[in-house]
Amino acid sequence: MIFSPVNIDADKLLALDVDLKKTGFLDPQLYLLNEAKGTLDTYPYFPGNLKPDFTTPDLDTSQLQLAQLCIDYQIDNDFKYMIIPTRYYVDYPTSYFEQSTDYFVTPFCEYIRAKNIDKKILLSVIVKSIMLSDEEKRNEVLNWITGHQHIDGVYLIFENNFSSKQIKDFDYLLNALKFIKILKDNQMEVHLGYTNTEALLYSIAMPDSISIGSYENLRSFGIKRFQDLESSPMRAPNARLYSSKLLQWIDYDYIQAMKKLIPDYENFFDDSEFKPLMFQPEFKWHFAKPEPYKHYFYIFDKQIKSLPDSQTDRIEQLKSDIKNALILFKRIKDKVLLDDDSDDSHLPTWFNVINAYQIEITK
Amino acid sequence: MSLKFEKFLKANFGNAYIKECTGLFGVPDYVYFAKQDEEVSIISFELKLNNWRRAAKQAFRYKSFSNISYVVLSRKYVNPAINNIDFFKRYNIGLAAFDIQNEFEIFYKPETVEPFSENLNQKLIDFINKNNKKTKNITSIIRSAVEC
Repeated sequence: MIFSPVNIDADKLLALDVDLKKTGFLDPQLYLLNEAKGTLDTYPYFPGNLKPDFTTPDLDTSQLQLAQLCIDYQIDNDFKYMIIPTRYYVDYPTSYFEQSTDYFVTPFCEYIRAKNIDKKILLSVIVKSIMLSDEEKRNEVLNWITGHQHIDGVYLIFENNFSSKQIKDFDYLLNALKFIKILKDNQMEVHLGYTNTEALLYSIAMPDSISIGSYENLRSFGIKRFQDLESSPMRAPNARLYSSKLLQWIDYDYIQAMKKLIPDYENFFDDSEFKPLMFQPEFKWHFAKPEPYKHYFYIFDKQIKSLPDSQTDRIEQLKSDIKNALILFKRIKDKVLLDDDSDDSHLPTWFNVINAYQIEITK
Repeated sequence: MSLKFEKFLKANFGNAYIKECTGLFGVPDYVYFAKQDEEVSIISFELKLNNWRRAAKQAFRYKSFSNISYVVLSRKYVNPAINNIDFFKRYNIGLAAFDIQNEFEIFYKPETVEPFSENLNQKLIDFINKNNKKTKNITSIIRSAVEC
């Protein structure tokens, strides 16, 4: 479990059952350094609590204090891993890696060592599209990650700027798999955050863990989630239901069309304790209703856990799942004209990515 | 094309329409409604210069709250859609063309059916019932029993 400071008050998190925390870790969320979104400013290490109007130059003098407060808070919670935070930039400055080492990696590692903390250390890394597509930039970030002696692994976040709900970019997905593989080849633990259904695809690169997020903004990383945008208009997403058989989230209004046009439409969706309620005519679908997300947690958790342990078997299983999903979609599309965010248009790309990755790992 | 089409609709079918109706499933360019006793029939139009497939996907969404949904393309670009008329038949979506000379031609009249979503249909009807606009000649774009 990954704990999110913008969503839970620091004291409440401290009071949570230790059993819940000892298998998880904290995402420190210093992406924007001093933006007090949600409950972030209740955390002792929040830069605004060290100095009002804290800015980047203040890190020169406060880096050690920030590291101490952040690590002490993580220790007090007894999380499984110690997390080193990262900053977010729209365009990364040329000195980004140097700065990140000086401001975060070195003071955090030194403090952990000085306190004799016997826990694994994960480095937070936001991977931007350019770091996947540009070989030079990719090598630079990989060299930086693997160049730290005391780091056991990464909390890896692939930034998602795609306008579609599912990722359909062949190169992006294949490069993401290669990125994970290189880290694993370097004996690093890889924990993936902010993933949607493509988590299944990423699983074939054998990462150590994959996050499952509920709302859309927890299933893809966008910096807006950490910006105080109270005055900006926000458009609520349509309610959707995940189907493990279709490997897709289907817009509820299409489910209504399926109900009218496909007699056994319910069979396209998984069974759960929440399904009977959601399929009752009087159920008021809304993106903020909890049942579709609880259903998703239950179904997707089962789907992830059912993945075979061996990479070869996992790849074959996923290919077979994609083929089956395409067959099911053909039945739906005979009657219901789905849009690009509820249809199967991501699946052929995923299938091709798996084939290309298979060639990559047998090289 | 949109303004011309709106003038055409008004002149031929009356002013019982809603322009760019939001809060439903998609945003239809025009929603026409005909009230008869307690019954309300709803016809949605998606107006596009070209890209018939995208227009059809949008028009299909409108079937969630409409009895009939039409794609209206510029006459200049309608041929690729006519060549795929079976696509429109399969999904029961109307196909028509319009040009700046005010020529409106229907290539496929869809069957009148119940909307997919009772909730969205009722939401729209509740809104429609608040006004007294009248339609005329609407039967010319609705398939008759003989045509079925």
